[in-house]
Amino acid sequence: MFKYIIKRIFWFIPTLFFVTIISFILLKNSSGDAVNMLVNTSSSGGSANVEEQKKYWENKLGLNLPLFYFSINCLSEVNDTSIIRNKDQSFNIKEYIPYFKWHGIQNQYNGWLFGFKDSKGILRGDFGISYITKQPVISIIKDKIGWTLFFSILSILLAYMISIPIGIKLVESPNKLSSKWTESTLFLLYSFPSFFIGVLLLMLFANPRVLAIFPPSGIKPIGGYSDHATFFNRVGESFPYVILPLITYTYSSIAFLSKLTTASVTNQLTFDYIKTAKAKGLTDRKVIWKHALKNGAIPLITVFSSIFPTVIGGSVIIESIFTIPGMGNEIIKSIIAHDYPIVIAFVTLTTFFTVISYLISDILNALIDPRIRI
Amino acid sequence: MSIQDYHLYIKLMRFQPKNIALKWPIRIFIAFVILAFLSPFIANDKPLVCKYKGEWMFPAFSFQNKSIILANNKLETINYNMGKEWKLLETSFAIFPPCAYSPNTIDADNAPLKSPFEKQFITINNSSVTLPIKYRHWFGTTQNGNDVLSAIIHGTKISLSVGIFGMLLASILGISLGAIAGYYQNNTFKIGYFQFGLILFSLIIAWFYSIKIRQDELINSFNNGGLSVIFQLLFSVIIFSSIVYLFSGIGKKIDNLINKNAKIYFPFDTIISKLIEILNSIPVLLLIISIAAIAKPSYLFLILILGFLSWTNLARIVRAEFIKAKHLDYVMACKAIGISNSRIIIKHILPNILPVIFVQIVFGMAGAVLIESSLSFIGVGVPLNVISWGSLLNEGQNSFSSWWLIIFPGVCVFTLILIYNKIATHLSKK
Repeated sequence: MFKYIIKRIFWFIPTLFFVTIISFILLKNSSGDAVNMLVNTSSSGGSANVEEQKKYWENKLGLNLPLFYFSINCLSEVNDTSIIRNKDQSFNIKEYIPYFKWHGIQNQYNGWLFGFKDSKGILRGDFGISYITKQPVISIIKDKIGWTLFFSILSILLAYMISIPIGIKLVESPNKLSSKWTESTLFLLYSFPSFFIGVLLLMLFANPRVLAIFPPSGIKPIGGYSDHATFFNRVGESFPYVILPLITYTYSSIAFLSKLTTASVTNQLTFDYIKTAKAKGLTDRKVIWKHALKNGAIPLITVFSSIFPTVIGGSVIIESIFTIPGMGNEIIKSIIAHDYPIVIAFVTLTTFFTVISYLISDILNALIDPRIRI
Repeated sequence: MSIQDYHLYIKLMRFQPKNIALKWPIRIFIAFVILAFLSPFIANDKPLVCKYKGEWMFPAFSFQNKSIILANNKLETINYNMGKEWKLLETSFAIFPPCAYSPNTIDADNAPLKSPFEKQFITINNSSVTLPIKYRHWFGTTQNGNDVLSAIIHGTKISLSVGIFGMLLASILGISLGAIAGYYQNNTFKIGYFQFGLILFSLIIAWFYSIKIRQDELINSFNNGGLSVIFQLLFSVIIFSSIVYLFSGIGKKIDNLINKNAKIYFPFDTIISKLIEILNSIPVLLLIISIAAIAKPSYLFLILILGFLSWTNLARIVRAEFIKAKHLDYVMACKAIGISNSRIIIKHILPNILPVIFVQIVFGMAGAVLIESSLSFIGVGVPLNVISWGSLLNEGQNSFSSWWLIIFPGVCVFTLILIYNKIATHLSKK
């Protein structure tokens, strides 16, 4: 077991490397010059000041360093300071000879990963600063991630709570008319795009012309909470705002998870230990709930680590529909403002968490089922 | 899904309502395809046939977009891109397409959000009269006055092609990588030390010659769009693979000269499985949003991204199938009579698992449609001047009272995804 865990954690390192490489390439290719954006937003005083500021930011962010541990260039580019080649020049053999150069650890990727001058590096939770507000990215994410996590975790829990009974109901009586209707409904729900459901719900239940039961946008009253509101008061005030987004977050996971429950429990029912349990004289209900579900729950737990990134990704759309002040909304705002460090940081963080949750679920699976360890 | 249990997957596929036949999904799909192909003749502001000042014209079928006619002994040039003016032109005979608007035609008379049931007008000689039934906006208009029905008909093209071409690329990648990982695993493919080392080394050289030197051409082609992207990419891929092939050949020769028996197993399975695991742990929608936001928005680029990111599920299934098939009798028999590995993979195992692959591809197409419409819904990574199903819904989101902007495109997206899922589940049942 110990050996398996060590092996699994060892594989974590190349994964991390690959993920950070992807994020770094994205960050470096993002359109909009970082230095120009940083300078433009600050109060400028004369052109000399702008040049000075440019140098300051370049030094501070380490943009004058080489990109990676090594570089491969054309031989013709090595001595020239300008990278732009002269197109009219006739065939130059130097353009077709690679030149390998080792830069060592003084490079942008290393600094981005492990820290450089002021920054501590992403491995210690420093994702740089936003181009627009110049705040640390991680503090923006900390401010905004609350609602996103609240909705995604609550919706996943809710989906488990609703879909397991539905799935088991379908196993218990597969031939009833009601089961067939449930199956068809789940199938339809599974095909509904989340943005359609969200807009449809708003159109039906937050529309003064049809039914204005729920407020159309936001997460709390427009004027904010009243001054002396206790925690429970606040929960009560926010409650109507939460309902529609929560439905939109939850419905597709319900369809998927109840399918999975039915499949997994039906699979368990074919094993011999179920026959033994029945032979003992247990009722069908007890056999399914106590015996089959316990063993069939393993894939349900494992699937959590794959639902999570989907739900977080979906938050971008759902939060923009319901204007929830969460991370998804912030990402769309940042993309429109070309403020890429926030976007890249969020993608990287989500991937980190997913990789770690895969790791944990694999180790848990190995604990439960010794066959996996081989 | 990190469930390795294949049986569970099959059970999951089988679980679905059984009494609805496949007839209707297929019919609707064919209808969508016909709509996509014939969209210029079904929804167009140019008439199919018209007679103007004694000259017959076929503007909807014309490639030149203008014609020169002789009227009253004077040469008159008619520009076909006159948009709404076609309806005011005094033609003696004209047959318009069933939907007499192009998606980008702006009808200012019915401009801000006309409902399908409202009275619609047209201005003739400065007086507003009721719109004739043949010019009616059957599905209403948008904020700018674009026809919704026409936008939906032309949007079919986008949604279908993103799904089909994206999954075409993904299936090429997924099937080949999954087959290699599943068939060779970690203990079949032997390779000499020199060959192994030279292949690793050649990756850098190949990257230099195929991408680094050609980066100007590649970026230019992406900016220009069109088929040149595919051509340039193919050229790069050919250079890359031929360099790797060359180096591996040289390595093989050296290995044969030095020591024929010093060989290691090439860990195909580990490499590909880890790649799948990594790509699966990245939230795809977020990654696509960030890539699409960085690059210049175009549908071709979206198809490429989708193809390169969504092959993982297919590869996982193909790998599992190959691992199972590897120990079956017919593969053993093939090996015994000395058929080469690549021939076993392509000619013997692949045809046997095609149904499973096809199911996964159709599911993938549903996912691609969902991603495309989500992106155009939030307006990131798709060209903003093209009206698609998602962008119509986005407009409807701003004014809930205009239900026709929400219901019609939403039902279209839903129907397309539903029939893909339906076809896939039905196929997997067999």
